[in-house]
Amino acid sequence: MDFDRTQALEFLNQAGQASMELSPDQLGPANDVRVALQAFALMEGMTEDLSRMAMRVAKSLKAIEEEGVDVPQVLDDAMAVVCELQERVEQGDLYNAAPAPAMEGSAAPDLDDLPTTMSVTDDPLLAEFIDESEEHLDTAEEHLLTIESDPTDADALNAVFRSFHTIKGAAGVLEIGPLSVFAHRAESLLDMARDHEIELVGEAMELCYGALDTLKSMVQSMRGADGEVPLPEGYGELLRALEAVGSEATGSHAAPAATPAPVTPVEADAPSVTDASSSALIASEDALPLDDVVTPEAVQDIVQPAERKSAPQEATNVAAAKPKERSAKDAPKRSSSSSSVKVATDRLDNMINLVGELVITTAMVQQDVLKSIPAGQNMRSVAQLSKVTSELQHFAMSMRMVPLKATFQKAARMVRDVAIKCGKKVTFESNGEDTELDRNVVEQLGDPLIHMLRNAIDHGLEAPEERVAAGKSESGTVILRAYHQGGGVVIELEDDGAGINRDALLKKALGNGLVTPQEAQSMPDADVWQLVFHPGLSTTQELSEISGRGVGMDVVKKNIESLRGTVEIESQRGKGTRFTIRLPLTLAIIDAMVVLANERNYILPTLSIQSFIRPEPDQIFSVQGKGEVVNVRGQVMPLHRLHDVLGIESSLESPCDGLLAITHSEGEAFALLVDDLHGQQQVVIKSMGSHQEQCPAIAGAAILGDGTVGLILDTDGIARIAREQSAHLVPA
Amino acid sequence: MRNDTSNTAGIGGQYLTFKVYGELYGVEILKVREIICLLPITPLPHSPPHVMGVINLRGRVIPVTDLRTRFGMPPQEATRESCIIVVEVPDEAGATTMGLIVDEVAEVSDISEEMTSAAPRLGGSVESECLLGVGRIEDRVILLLDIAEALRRSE
Repeated sequence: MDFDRTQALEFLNQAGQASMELSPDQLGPANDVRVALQAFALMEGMTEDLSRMAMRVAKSLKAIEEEGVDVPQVLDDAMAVVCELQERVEQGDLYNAAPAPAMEGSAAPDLDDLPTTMSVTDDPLLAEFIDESEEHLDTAEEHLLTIESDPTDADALNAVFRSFHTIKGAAGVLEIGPLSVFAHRAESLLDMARDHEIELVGEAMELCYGALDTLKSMVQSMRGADGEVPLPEGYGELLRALEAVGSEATGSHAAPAATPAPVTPVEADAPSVTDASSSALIASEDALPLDDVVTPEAVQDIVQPAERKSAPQEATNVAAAKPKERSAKDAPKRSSSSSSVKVATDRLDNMINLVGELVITTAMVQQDVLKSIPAGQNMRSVAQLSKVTSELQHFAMSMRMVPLKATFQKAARMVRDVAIKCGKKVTFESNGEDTELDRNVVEQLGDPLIHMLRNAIDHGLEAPEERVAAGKSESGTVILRAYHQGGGVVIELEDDGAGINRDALLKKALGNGLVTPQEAQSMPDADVWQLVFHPGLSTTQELSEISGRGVGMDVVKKNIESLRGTVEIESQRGKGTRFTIRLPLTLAIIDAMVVLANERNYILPTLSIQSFIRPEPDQIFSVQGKGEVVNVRGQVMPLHRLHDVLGIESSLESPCDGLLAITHSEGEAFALLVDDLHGQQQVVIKSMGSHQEQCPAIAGAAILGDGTVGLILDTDGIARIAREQSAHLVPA
Repeated sequence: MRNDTSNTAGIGGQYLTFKVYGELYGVEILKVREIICLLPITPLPHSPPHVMGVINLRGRVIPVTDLRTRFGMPPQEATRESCIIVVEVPDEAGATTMGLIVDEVAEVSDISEEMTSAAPRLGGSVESECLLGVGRIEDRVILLLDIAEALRRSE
């Protein structure tokens, strides 16, 4: 018999692609699917079996627009059949007379001869597929976490199932065999959970997470790849494990239904079991010890392999019947396909830059108009222009905002994994995950946050026994919160663990010579906690796999500060620790004070300024060889002259002629002398290019209302330069 | 290293020529993005003397180098002819855009390969490493600048 396999696959691809576009409110492609399936069914050399499957679906698709048809069910069915046909044609499995779209029926594809690579062709579809799959996997992960807390949550189970199912379908279309097969197995596992054949707890849950991770790394490894891509480690093992749980669970569940017999005494039946088969069964049970699932019936199964033989058939039928019931439930979900458009980030960034320029230009126009026409009629339109522009800017900025959800989700997953590794019990709570932040901030926040969480669980929370001994609940609580406060976002990370050990920390700091014994005595707690952020200080001696991978808390602090945020610690021995991270909403725009020095404008971020004062002569003191200090409401702080720091001329004879900006650097307040304050404005930060080595006092540049460039001052850099300058003064 | 190859390989082509301190220089036209008039410059503190500061080029902040100062020539007050040539210089991070202050822009000249020669040992203020070579148009001599090298060596 002459069978053109390539042609058959092409028909199926067409059908598959069209069926991907199908949804209950988008029935247009149904006709394409139908035509392709018919062509497939009528091919020369087509086996009757496959032909019948294809025709059946084609027929139901034809009737799809009639009344009383369960549309979602037909669509699900169509998708499933196309996938199965594809699989079977690919494997040359044309004659296996499996009825109906029973996924479990389509036998394991030569599991002993597993591929080690998958072949990928670099085409535009692939990139889209990767993006979409990653989204699906993220959704799946989110829902897996839900399932973990409530294994019976049907919606979450369905969501995970759908994610795996879509990936399977798409992978099939793209002819990425190993991925499709793997997703199929993972999907089957979820399917069984949906049908209450297994419960997703313990090892089964681990398996789910493993499958998810493997899918993730497979999808990730395909990005930008062309040709053979190695499969991730453990692909084969997981695939087998998934396969095993499939046969195990269906068996253990169906058996009691078939024979609700009383538990047979082991000795009585044991002789009838051949050694080989019983050991094989036990081996497979070992491969996947479903501790929480093993029921008395399952135990019975092990000693009654004869009855098991009939079980899988039963299970297959059950599974085959199920899809119809559940697809009705899926229906409302499907139609909610989002009304959003994906935009490449560089396009978005470009647009935001342009809008930023527009804002500046508008401000310039406004100034010019004000100057040239005293109170002309143009004022109205100019006012209108600036209003529209600022609205546009707001709008553009909001497009860059993303919720913290994904970050929190990653955190939840991480907490779970770390808790298991550490052998600690952790309840993770998060709220405010819809709080939005600039996506650049969110991206850069991920790592520090993960690190802090790890620390909280690994070092912060005590082992269960210790907790009980301390009169706390066995399971520790880690809370992650996000909320808006004063034009910024606050993220709090709280644990109810042991708190920071002040004495141990101080001892370490003394050892490193960071503090003197006298200082240690009187140091306020807040200052002690800040020591945590000092490089080379960690209260735990040993490095574990979880923490101490080279990213210390000092790096965390640096990262957060590079986002122009701050981090504070509160801790109470025995009660817990709380980290408070404060972040600006966006990196692109800052609220700033424009100050004057030698007739030039400089920009000071409002966040770093406490107040401005005009000093009186009796507030200023000169300290021999150490520069000037100023007494501000009883607090004595060093006084740095901006002119000296920047190396520019100054027309000020005494600080009293100028203005003092009270600011701080690394927790220490200082006063910065400037000529005058020019006003407050929002500025768009511009990079100055990496060509020159920058002066540490300059953090960047921004374009001011008059079109000139203003330099943004960095208070830490200013303090550093001032210190160096005064150090040079001493010997002179 | 870089100069060895560029001095021997073809350096003929189109150059934008300009004057600094009476001398005629050329920079490869492909590196030039635009020519703008002098804009208000914001000086950068603690920067090398030849870096005059930064300007706002339609919303982009770019550094500006004064070629007179860079080559150790006496500075002059800006004249009507003074302008900024905006060049794009390839570097490790891709490309840097920067401005060069020159006394006067002359023209775009086609300098054929046979009219160029390797940079002579000048011993003057312009290090010969910063030159691609020397070109001639009629009886005028044009110093062909290796602008990336000139800016890099100044750091």
